[in-house]
Amino acid sequence: MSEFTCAVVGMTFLGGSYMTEAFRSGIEAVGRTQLESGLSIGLSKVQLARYVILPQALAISIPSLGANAIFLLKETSIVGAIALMDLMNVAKDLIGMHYKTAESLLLLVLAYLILVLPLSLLLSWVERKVRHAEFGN
Amino acid sequence: MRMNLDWEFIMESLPLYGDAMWLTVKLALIAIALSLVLGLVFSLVLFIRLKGLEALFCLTSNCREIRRCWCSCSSSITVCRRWAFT
Repeated sequence: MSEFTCAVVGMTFLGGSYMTEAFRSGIEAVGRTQLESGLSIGLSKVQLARYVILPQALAISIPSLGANAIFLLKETSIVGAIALMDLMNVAKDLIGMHYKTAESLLLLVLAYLILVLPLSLLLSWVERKVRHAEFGN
Repeated sequence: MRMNLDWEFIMESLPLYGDAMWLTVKLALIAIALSLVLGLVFSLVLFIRLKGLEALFCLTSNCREIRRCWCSCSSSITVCRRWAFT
């Protein structure tokens, strides 16, 4: 197994646990009356999940999912532990080799800013769009 | 305090950061997509298995047998634990 695959598997399980909690909180926030209403009009379990629970649960859990996605992006710095040359590892290498701490850290900050800022803007846009799907709005 | 930055070093090391950034983006995107799928599946399993739908469906269908099974399972676990401690 390559180090990239190892990193993907590790990050997936790390992120998956947080995403599960985010989704679970969203699903549990859907009112019981909604489920009962769905059952009363004869929806099956799958239809209930697809048309009643998931749209509302997604709208509720989008903010925490976005926060988790940004957290996961920043958490990629941990893959340096398995010798994958990510941003943090490159910066540490350059500091170790050339003793140019300020330059290396400046580039590191700029690189993370370039990565995180568009993602953050995209997620806030998605959040605004999905909010219209919440029940009662 | 004034800090002099070595711009030549910065320009030289930019390609290294470019490669690392590409790797980070790939890793993050794959991990985010897979963790979303994993999270959705696990949360649905948690919801359906533990509370929510199962309890709700018990209202509309006959769950006496399921309850009996759960009771027997939990009582046998308790008995096993008691045996383990005595």
